[in-house]
Amino acid sequence: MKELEVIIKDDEGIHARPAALFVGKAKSYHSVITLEKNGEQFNAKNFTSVLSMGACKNDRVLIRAEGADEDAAIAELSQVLND
Amino acid sequence: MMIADVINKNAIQVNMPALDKQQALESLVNLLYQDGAVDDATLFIQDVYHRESEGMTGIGGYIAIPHGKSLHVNRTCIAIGLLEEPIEWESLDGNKVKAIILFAVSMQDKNDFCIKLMSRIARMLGNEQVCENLLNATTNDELISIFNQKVSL
Repeated sequence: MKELEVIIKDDEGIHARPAALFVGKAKSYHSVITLEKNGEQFNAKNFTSVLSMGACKNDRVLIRAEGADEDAAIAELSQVLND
Repeated sequence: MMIADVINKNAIQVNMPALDKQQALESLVNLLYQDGAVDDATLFIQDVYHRESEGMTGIGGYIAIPHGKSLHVNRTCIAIGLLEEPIEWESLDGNKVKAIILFAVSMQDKNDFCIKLMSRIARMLGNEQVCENLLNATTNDELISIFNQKVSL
Protein backbone atom coordinates (compact mmCIF):
# COMPACT_ATOMS: atom_id res chain seq x y z
CA MET A 1 0.00 0.00 0.00
CA LYS A 2 1.31 3.44 -0.86
CA GLU A 3 0.07 6.85 0.13
CA LEU A 4 1.02 10.39 -0.59
CA GLU A 5 -0.30 13.69 0.65
CA VAL A 6 -0.82 16.51 -1.81
CA ILE A 7 -1.78 20.12 -1.26
CA ILE A 8 -4.34 21.42 -3.71
CA LYS A 9 -2.98 24.34 -5.67
CA ASP A 10 -5.78 25.21 -8.05
CA ASP A 11 -7.78 28.32 -7.05
CA GLU A 12 -10.94 26.51 -8.05
CA GLY A 13 -10.05 23.39 -6.07
CA ILE A 14 -11.08 19.98 -7.36
CA HIS A 15 -14.13 21.13 -9.24
CA ALA A 16 -16.07 19.03 -11.69
CA ARG A 17 -13.60 19.08 -14.55
CA PRO A 18 -10.47 17.95 -12.69
CA ALA A 19 -12.61 15.52 -10.69
CA ALA A 20 -13.74 13.86 -13.92
CA LEU A 21 -10.16 13.77 -15.23
CA PHE A 22 -8.92 12.31 -11.95
CA VAL A 23 -11.60 9.61 -11.82
CA GLY A 24 -10.93 8.65 -15.44
CA LYS A 25 -7.25 8.13 -14.70
CA ALA A 26 -7.90 6.36 -11.37
CA LYS A 27 -10.14 3.86 -13.15
CA SER A 28 -7.29 2.91 -15.47
CA TYR A 29 -5.44 1.33 -12.54
CA HIS A 30 -6.17 -2.05 -11.00
CA SER A 31 -5.29 -0.86 -7.48
CA VAL A 32 -7.94 0.08 -4.97
CA ILE A 33 -7.55 3.84 -4.70
CA THR A 34 -9.01 6.14 -2.09
CA LEU A 35 -8.74 9.78 -1.23
CA GLU A 36 -8.81 11.09 2.29
CA LYS A 37 -9.54 14.60 3.49
CA ASN A 38 -9.93 15.54 7.14
CA GLY A 39 -10.13 11.87 8.08
CA GLU A 40 -12.96 11.14 5.68
CA GLN A 41 -12.48 8.66 2.84
CA PHE A 42 -13.69 8.90 -0.73
CA ASN A 43 -13.68 6.45 -3.60
CA ALA A 44 -11.24 7.74 -6.23
CA LYS A 45 -12.99 5.77 -8.95
CA ASN A 46 -16.41 7.30 -8.33
CA PHE A 47 -17.09 10.78 -9.70
CA THR A 48 -19.81 11.72 -7.24
CA SER A 49 -17.61 10.58 -4.36
CA VAL A 50 -14.62 12.64 -5.50
CA LEU A 51 -16.80 15.68 -6.08
CA SER A 52 -18.37 15.35 -2.66
CA MET A 53 -14.91 15.62 -1.07
CA GLY A 54 -15.06 19.33 -1.84
CA ALA A 55 -11.30 19.91 -1.92
CA CYS A 56 -10.46 23.61 -2.09
CA LYS A 57 -7.16 25.38 -2.65
CA ASN A 58 -4.66 24.67 0.14
CA ASP A 59 -6.55 21.62 1.36
CA ARG A 60 -4.42 18.57 2.15
CA VAL A 61 -5.58 15.40 0.47
CA LEU A 62 -4.14 11.93 0.99
CA ILE A 63 -4.06 9.57 -1.97
CA ARG A 64 -3.92 5.90 -1.02
CA ALA A 65 -3.41 3.07 -3.49
CA GLU A 66 -3.19 -0.64 -2.89
CA GLY A 67 -2.42 -3.15 -5.62
CA ALA A 68 0.14 -4.26 -8.15
CA ASP A 69 0.24 -0.88 -9.86
CA GLU A 70 0.07 1.25 -6.72
CA ASP A 71 3.34 3.07 -7.39
CA ALA A 72 2.34 4.17 -10.86
CA ALA A 73 -1.12 5.09 -9.62
CA ILE A 74 0.22 7.32 -6.84
CA ALA A 75 2.73 8.94 -9.18
CA GLU A 76 0.23 9.81 -11.87
CA LEU A 77 -2.70 10.73 -9.65
CA SER A 78 -0.64 13.00 -7.40
CA GLN A 79 0.48 14.77 -10.56
CA VAL A 80 -3.12 15.28 -11.63
CA LEU A 81 -4.02 16.81 -8.26
CA ASN A 82 -0.92 18.97 -8.25
CA ASP A 83 -1.72 20.65 -11.54
CA MET B 1 -25.96 28.47 5.03
CA MET B 2 -28.22 25.62 4.01
CA ILE B 3 -28.60 24.16 0.54
CA ALA B 4 -32.25 25.16 0.74
CA ASP B 5 -31.17 28.82 0.83
CA VAL B 6 -29.18 28.46 -2.37
CA ILE B 7 -31.88 26.69 -4.34
CA ASN B 8 -33.78 29.33 -6.27
CA LYS B 9 -37.43 28.60 -5.55
CA ASN B 10 -38.46 30.62 -8.60
CA ALA B 11 -36.26 28.53 -10.86
CA ILE B 12 -37.72 25.09 -10.33
CA GLN B 13 -39.66 23.26 -12.96
CA VAL B 14 -41.11 19.78 -12.81
CA ASN B 15 -42.51 18.34 -16.05
CA MET B 16 -40.30 20.38 -18.35
CA PRO B 17 -41.45 19.79 -21.92
CA ALA B 18 -37.95 20.51 -23.33
CA LEU B 19 -36.86 18.10 -26.04
CA ASP B 20 -33.12 18.73 -25.94
CA LYS B 21 -30.31 20.26 -23.90
CA GLN B 22 -30.67 23.68 -25.54
CA GLN B 23 -34.37 23.95 -24.77
CA ALA B 24 -33.88 22.67 -21.23
CA LEU B 25 -31.09 25.10 -20.43
CA GLU B 26 -32.93 28.01 -22.01
CA SER B 27 -36.00 27.20 -19.97
CA LEU B 28 -34.13 27.15 -16.67
CA VAL B 29 -31.98 30.17 -17.48
CA ASN B 30 -35.09 32.10 -18.40
CA LEU B 31 -36.49 31.45 -14.93
CA LEU B 32 -33.23 32.66 -13.39
CA TYR B 33 -33.34 35.76 -15.53
CA GLN B 34 -36.94 36.55 -14.61
CA ASP B 35 -36.01 36.12 -10.99
CA GLY B 36 -33.13 38.58 -11.35
CA ALA B 37 -30.48 36.04 -10.35
CA VAL B 38 -29.00 36.37 -13.84
CA ASP B 39 -28.77 39.72 -15.61
CA ASP B 40 -28.28 38.47 -19.18
CA ALA B 41 -29.76 35.14 -20.17
CA THR B 42 -27.97 34.89 -23.51
CA LEU B 43 -24.53 35.63 -22.15
CA PHE B 44 -25.03 33.40 -19.12
CA ILE B 45 -26.08 30.48 -21.34
CA GLN B 46 -22.88 31.01 -23.32
CA ASP B 47 -20.91 30.58 -20.11
CA VAL B 48 -22.83 27.39 -19.35
CA TYR B 49 -22.09 26.07 -22.84
CA HIS B 50 -18.45 27.02 -22.47
CA ARG B 51 -18.31 24.74 -19.45
CA GLU B 52 -20.19 22.02 -21.36
CA SER B 53 -17.47 22.11 -24.00
CA GLU B 54 -14.83 21.42 -21.34
CA GLY B 55 -16.29 18.14 -20.16
CA MET B 56 -19.48 16.24 -19.64
CA THR B 57 -21.83 17.27 -16.87
CA GLY B 58 -24.04 14.21 -16.98
CA ILE B 59 -22.97 12.40 -13.82
CA GLY B 60 -24.92 9.24 -14.51
CA GLY B 61 -28.18 7.98 -13.13
CA TYR B 62 -30.15 10.35 -15.39
CA ILE B 63 -28.84 13.45 -13.61
CA ALA B 64 -26.82 16.36 -14.99
CA ILE B 65 -25.08 19.20 -13.16
CA PRO B 66 -24.40 21.92 -15.74
CA HIS B 67 -22.93 25.09 -14.32
CA GLY B 68 -21.84 28.55 -15.32
CA LYS B 69 -19.40 30.73 -13.44
CA SER B 70 -20.33 34.05 -14.91
CA LEU B 71 -20.13 37.81 -14.68
CA HIS B 72 -23.82 37.75 -15.42
CA VAL B 73 -24.84 36.00 -12.25
CA ASN B 74 -26.04 38.47 -9.64
CA ARG B 75 -26.32 35.91 -6.89
CA THR B 76 -25.20 32.31 -6.77
CA CYS B 77 -28.11 29.91 -6.86
CA ILE B 78 -29.35 26.60 -8.20
CA ALA B 79 -32.14 25.94 -10.68
CA ILE B 80 -33.66 22.49 -10.92
CA GLY B 81 -35.59 20.99 -13.79
CA LEU B 82 -37.24 17.60 -14.21
CA LEU B 83 -37.96 16.64 -17.78
CA GLU B 84 -41.17 14.99 -18.93
CA GLU B 85 -39.09 12.84 -21.24
CA PRO B 86 -35.38 12.06 -20.81
CA ILE B 87 -33.15 13.96 -23.22
CA GLU B 88 -29.79 13.35 -24.81
CA TRP B 89 -26.92 14.63 -22.70
CA GLU B 90 -23.23 13.73 -22.54
CA SER B 91 -23.01 11.55 -19.45
CA LEU B 92 -20.57 9.29 -17.65
CA ASP B 93 -22.78 6.22 -18.02
CA GLY B 94 -24.06 6.99 -21.51
CA ASN B 95 -27.64 7.37 -20.32
CA LYS B 96 -30.02 10.20 -21.10
CA VAL B 97 -30.85 12.84 -18.51
CA LYS B 98 -34.08 13.44 -16.69
CA ALA B 99 -33.03 15.79 -13.86
CA ILE B 100 -30.99 18.92 -14.37
CA ILE B 101 -29.38 20.76 -11.50
CA LEU B 102 -28.08 24.00 -12.97
CA PHE B 103 -25.60 26.02 -10.89
CA ALA B 104 -25.45 29.75 -11.56
CA VAL B 105 -22.28 30.95 -9.85
CA SER B 106 -21.18 34.55 -9.44
CA MET B 107 -17.53 35.43 -9.97
CA GLN B 108 -16.98 36.08 -6.28
CA ASP B 109 -18.21 32.58 -5.45
CA LYS B 110 -16.39 30.72 -8.21
CA ASN B 111 -13.72 29.24 -5.97
CA ASP B 112 -14.29 27.88 -2.47
CA PHE B 113 -18.02 28.51 -2.21
CA CYS B 114 -18.74 26.83 -5.54
CA ILE B 115 -16.70 23.78 -4.53
CA LYS B 116 -18.49 23.50 -1.21
CA LEU B 117 -21.86 23.88 -2.90
CA MET B 118 -21.05 21.21 -5.48
CA SER B 119 -19.68 18.89 -2.85
CA ARG B 120 -22.86 19.15 -0.73
CA ILE B 121 -25.05 18.43 -3.74
CA ALA B 122 -22.72 15.59 -4.77
CA ARG B 123 -23.01 14.09 -1.29
CA MET B 124 -26.77 14.07 -1.54
CA LEU B 125 -26.65 12.60 -5.02
CA GLY B 126 -24.38 9.84 -3.74
CA ASN B 127 -27.43 8.59 -1.86
CA GLU B 128 -29.58 6.36 -4.07
CA GLN B 129 -32.77 7.23 -2.23
CA VAL B 130 -32.20 10.94 -2.80
CA CYS B 131 -31.68 10.34 -6.50
CA GLU B 132 -34.80 8.21 -6.71
CA ASN B 133 -36.84 10.86 -4.91
CA LEU B 134 -35.43 13.52 -7.20
CA LEU B 135 -36.27 11.65 -10.39
CA ASN B 136 -39.78 10.86 -9.18
CA ALA B 137 -40.74 14.26 -7.74
CA THR B 138 -44.02 15.59 -9.07
CA THR B 139 -44.27 19.01 -7.46
CA ASN B 140 -41.93 21.95 -6.91
CA ASP B 141 -42.34 21.65 -3.14
CA GLU B 142 -41.38 18.00 -3.27
CA LEU B 143 -38.21 18.88 -5.19
CA ILE B 144 -37.26 21.57 -2.71
CA SER B 145 -37.85 19.33 0.28
CA ILE B 146 -35.48 16.69 -1.10
CA PHE B 147 -32.65 19.17 -0.76
CA ASN B 148 -33.91 20.59 2.47
CA GLN B 149 -31.73 18.28 4.46
CA LYS B 150 -29.41 19.11 7.29
CA VAL B 151 -26.28 19.37 5.23
CA SER B 152 -25.08 22.84 5.98
CA LEU B 153 -22.44 24.75 4.11
